[in-house]
Amino acid sequence: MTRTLPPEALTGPADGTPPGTPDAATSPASRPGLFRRAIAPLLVLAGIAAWAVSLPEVDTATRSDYGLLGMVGPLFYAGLALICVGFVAELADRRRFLVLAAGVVGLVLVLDGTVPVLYPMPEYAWTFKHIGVVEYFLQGHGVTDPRDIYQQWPALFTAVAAVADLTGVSTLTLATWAPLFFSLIACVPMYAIARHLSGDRRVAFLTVFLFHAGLWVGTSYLSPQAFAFQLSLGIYLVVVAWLRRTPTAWRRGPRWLRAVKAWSVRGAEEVPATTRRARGRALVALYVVTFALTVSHQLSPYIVVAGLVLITVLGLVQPRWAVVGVLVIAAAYLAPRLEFINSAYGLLDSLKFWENAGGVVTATSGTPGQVFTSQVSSLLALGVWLLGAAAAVSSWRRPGRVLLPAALAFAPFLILAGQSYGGEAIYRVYLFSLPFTAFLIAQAALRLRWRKVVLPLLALFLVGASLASIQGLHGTLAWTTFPRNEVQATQWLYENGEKGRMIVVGAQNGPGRLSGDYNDFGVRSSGGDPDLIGNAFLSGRMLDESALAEVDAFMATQGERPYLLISTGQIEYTKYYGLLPDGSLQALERTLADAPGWTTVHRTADAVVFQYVGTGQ
Amino acid sequence: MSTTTAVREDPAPPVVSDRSTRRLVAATGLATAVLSSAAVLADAPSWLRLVTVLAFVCAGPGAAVLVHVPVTRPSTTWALTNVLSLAVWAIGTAVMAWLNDWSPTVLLLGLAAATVVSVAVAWARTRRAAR
Repeated sequence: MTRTLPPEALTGPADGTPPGTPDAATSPASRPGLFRRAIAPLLVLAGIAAWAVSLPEVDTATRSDYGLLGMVGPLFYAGLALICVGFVAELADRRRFLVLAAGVVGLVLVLDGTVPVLYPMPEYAWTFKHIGVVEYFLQGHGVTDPRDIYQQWPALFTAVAAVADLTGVSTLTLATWAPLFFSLIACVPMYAIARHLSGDRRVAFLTVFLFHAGLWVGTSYLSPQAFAFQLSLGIYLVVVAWLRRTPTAWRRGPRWLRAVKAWSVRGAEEVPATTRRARGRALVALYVVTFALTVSHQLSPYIVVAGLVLITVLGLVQPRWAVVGVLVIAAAYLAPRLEFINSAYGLLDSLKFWENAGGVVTATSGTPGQVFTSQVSSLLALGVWLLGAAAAVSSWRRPGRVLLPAALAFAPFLILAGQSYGGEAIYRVYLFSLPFTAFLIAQAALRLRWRKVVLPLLALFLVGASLASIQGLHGTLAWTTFPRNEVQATQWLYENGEKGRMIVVGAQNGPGRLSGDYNDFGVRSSGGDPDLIGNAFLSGRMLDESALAEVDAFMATQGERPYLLISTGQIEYTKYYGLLPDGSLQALERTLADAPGWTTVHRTADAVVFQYVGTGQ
Repeated sequence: MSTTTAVREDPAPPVVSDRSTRRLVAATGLATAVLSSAAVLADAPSWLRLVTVLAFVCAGPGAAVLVHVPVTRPSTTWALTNVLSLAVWAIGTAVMAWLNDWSPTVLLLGLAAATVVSVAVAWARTRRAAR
């Protein structure tokens, strides 16, 4: 039987506890002593304090192959451990909203606040490409280039440009702090979704904590996907809050299918019915957010559609046609851009699931730090997915209670059937799968008996996962952060360089295309600039005088008077992945300083800009 | 304490968002709309404009909608306030770019005015219902 909740009839405290329910944790008879009440918040606060105190000790002038964890001191580790232990202690005992929220915020600060505090420039080369697009709109331009993929999906860039315009804060500063911003706001809808799926507040908090502890993929930097993820969570929330229905067995179809369906809904909890009016409002909200999502990012709408189609087929959504509207919005926006996307990037490029599941970088011939980071990240992803699968399987007697989160946890894999997204699809799959995988793990972990064993193990797991996550996110810090000098050299080039010239880079890592005039240089409407390794085929070569003729020959193919930019970020990148012998780019820099046909046009401590004028002049 | 007992669960059945949540959402929408507009019009210091404008972008337009919608949980109300706000802001700025008419101040003031009107209507409706 379903029941309709009368509006305003069941008011209660903001934490969701029903009115009049005595809180066992605070009733006078069971009120614990001061120490027990204070221990968890003190642990969390001590953890945050230890983290904050550890930061000034970090020497950002040095670089480590092991990234952030190779640079921080013991206080940083102690801080992270205290936050995790304090959070679990609160879960186990008093489960106060503020203390649990402080634990989550503390973890996010450690994961996404550390780098912005330590470094003045944004992390990751891709961030700078996005900054260029924001700057473009900030200059007052409209969408003018039908072959510029960023302009064709402009919402994140225009949204940030408007904030920068109104506040006067530089795009570089906004980008530096974007990871912390996006990670913090993602907690809110994720918590709300988990609260709808479980009546237990602790499950919701553990879900959010696990999500961050397991998110080793750098997706919260200033990017369309970070913004799209927040909107996607909103879509899932609308569906879970208003468009969910209690799954029922099928009356038609083959007997075996009906048997499977009957088994799959066993244990499903009754979903309170919603009124037609409420569903109507929900559908409007769903389509508005879907439209914002569609104009923000190319891939995310289809990952969401995959999840919605699956749960609709499983009979968990009403009305069933709700997903059709989502698909129509996504497809209608894509249709006029289909030819461009297909020709430039390849749509349904390959239909090879396993190839599409491969990551961006597959080389393992880099430094020991690179191999370590790669292995730790893979282990964490595999561990989280296996635990999520185990948690889902553990409900095999009553699969109905995990049907929806399990479907949404594993539906993102469907996208791998048709897209590699430049090798990044697997990371998006992990991102979209993680909230629901985390929910499955959280629900199962808090249902386990033997709490004296389970809870310490949980704390240990959270510490380990958080460390692995930091290694995945910031293990590449040696080359994903850029000195101010390097950023300024690139800015100088865009401001003072001859428009229309090609910019060649030593390697594909640097703060490139960070100006609103990015299309005035290099290949118009492309995602990057040509480099000596991938485009000139000089991988593995010592670029000293012996390679000068080949460098000259390549530069001669790059139009008139092209620029060559060599920087610290490129040197660290090639070293990390073993793409060039040590000292190779430095040797090239020395060679070009006196080489005929080359002019040094700008030099800072961390970057040199050369211009190739040709040996014939 | 027994080592064989499962961790205690929250006895929390579905509840309907109380009026205080909606009042708080309305106040948030109103405050962020007024403060961000004032900060931008008065050309306040950059940090103040950042705080107020970001708060409006994250909560203002969504609050204008959620004050009219009964929601089952406070966390849902706040989450949708945020997501709808971001969605409306993103669509609004994208429309400016498509129309090649870049005027974020007009967008901010327009959305802020709409938020104030929406909150006022919701409050008036609540007062009428209470009488």
